[in-house]
Amino acid sequence: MLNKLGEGTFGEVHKARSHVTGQLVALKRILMHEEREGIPITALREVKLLKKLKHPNVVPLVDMVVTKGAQTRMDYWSTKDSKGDIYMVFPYMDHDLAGLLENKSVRLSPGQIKLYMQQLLEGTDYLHRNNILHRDMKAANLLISNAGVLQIADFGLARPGHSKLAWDGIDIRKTRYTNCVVTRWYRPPELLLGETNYGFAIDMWGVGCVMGEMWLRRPMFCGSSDLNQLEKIWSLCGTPTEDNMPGWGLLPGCEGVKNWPRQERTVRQNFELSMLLLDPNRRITAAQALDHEWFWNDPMPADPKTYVD
Amino acid sequence: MAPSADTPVETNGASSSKKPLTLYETSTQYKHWRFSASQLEERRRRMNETAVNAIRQVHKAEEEGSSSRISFLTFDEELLLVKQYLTTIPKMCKLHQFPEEVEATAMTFLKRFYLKNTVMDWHPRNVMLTAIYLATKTTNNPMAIDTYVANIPRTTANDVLELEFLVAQSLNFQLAVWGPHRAAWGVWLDLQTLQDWGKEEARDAFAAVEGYVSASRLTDAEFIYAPSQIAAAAWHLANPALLEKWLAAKGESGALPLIKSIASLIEKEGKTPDLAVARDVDARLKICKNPEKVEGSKAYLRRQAEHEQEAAAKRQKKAERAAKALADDPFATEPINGVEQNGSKIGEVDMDDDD
Repeated sequence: MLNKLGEGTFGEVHKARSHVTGQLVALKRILMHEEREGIPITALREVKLLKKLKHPNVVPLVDMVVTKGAQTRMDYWSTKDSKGDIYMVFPYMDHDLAGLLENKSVRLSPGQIKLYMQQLLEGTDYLHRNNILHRDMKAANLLISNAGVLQIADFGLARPGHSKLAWDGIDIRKTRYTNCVVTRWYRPPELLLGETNYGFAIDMWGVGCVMGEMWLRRPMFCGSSDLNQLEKIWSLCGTPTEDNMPGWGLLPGCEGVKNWPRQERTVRQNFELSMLLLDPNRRITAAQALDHEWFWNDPMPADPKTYVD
Repeated sequence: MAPSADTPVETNGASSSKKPLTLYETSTQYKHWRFSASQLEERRRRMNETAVNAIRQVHKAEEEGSSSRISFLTFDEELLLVKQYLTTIPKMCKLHQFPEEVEATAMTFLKRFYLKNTVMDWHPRNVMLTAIYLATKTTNNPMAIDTYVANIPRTTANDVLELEFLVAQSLNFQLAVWGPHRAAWGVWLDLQTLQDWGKEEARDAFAAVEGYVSASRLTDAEFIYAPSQIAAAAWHLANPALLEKWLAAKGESGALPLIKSIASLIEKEGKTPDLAVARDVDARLKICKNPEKVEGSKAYLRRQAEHEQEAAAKRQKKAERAAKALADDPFATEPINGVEQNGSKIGEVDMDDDD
């Protein structure tokens, strides 16, 4: 165990060195304090999902470590106050994108931004094709190695999306999820307005925010409250209308606060803003974004092989 | 048992390496939880022997007299008891109105657990309750622990949660389970694309298929065969002619002998064990279970004292190390967190809360 790296949705992350392979790893501890319901369902979801996923731009779960307190046969011991801990083991990555962007001495060329965006979209497309909503897309959850590889991390809020087949008689149109997901600054307008039947487009809003953040070197919309967050979004994307966000007025969050002063979209349509469309149904998908000509214009995405940190 | 059951059925290796993997082949179930019938038997036999030897040692250390008079469970008696508790899972799930996915997953969890552990260490009643609770969470059908135990006699929340780590770890945290019920549903849908498929006949058969799928969960079929093969066997038991027609339409008639052998396994093994026999085994288990696992017993207390001694020694060592670090660095005011600690290795990292 070397040092603490940070804190995630439900656990601390520590840097450590494997005594077996000698490699640096990140240990994510599943917090069990005051966990009335046993191992948190979010942790089980994350483990189950990660074991299924295998993609260069999705962080791989290398192993699970259980400390003394819960070993198998004969070694097993558990006293009431020390229950042992569960750690997820990931390869150690040098940076996260939020840290890189805060660091004034790091310059990102347009080619590098394209390289990262391409990898972010490849990873996101892979998740969505496998029917997984990440639900916490943000710069701090994107890990970057010194070799220029980007990996999507932190599946603590992720869950399967709508199944294509109606299974066990569940009507998919009635599926409801909690809308208390996604860090506020990266939360799309439909969630802020209380939508509970959302889809993959919520991740794409986050991807759009991350892209803007790479250009601006600061988060795009730093709302101080949910309402303030919406106002920040309206000031860039315009206030919602039946035209740019059909059905918005029916969302539960709109009650009592429908009268925003009319604002027009202040920016022209371009690649990143097709991810920041108010209407989730018109927002670009990861697969469409990867086909966008932006990736085929100069400057081309940087080659990770020539990448020097 | 059919000879084909002695080797894993799916072809793998060179011949199929060029084909893209099926979704099932990328699963942890395919990679880590497939065995031949003889491998399963060998594994259970060895685990039973190890457990009996270990428990004999404990008795010896306790000088509670010779353990030679104790009649330990054999590996097939252990299996019988596990099976008895497997049959309880559907009842428990019905009681709590959990969907079939929870039932199927919990049964797989319980069976997998006893490929790594013996009933003489961990009683299947408790493991069963934990397996169901864990399955509710991994299949996204969560229920508050208090609500769950409220319906179960003589059981506290702690009884269920205490074993959760152990169960999850015995499963290697491989929590995704592929059962034959989905595959059986798939065959049902696919049948409807056949010409002259006979709606009434197929509908009647499907009701029976669900029963055979449930029966298959009491057997080792899922460790030996793919979910789709078990599903086909369930259809064959329900309506052989219909399934054979479907196989022919798919160009898979060659699979029929295998499917028939799975079907006979389900018929032979997919039955609730004789309750009287199971009771007798359970009664003997009370005498032969590992005394170290019996709260309050001499062996339990000795083990606890040992454990505390170990922990104290560890704390002492840690304090010495910290003191040494302090002595080496006159400017340090507290032990430096970044110092790499010796002697701990990954897999059993020393991360006690006591520092």
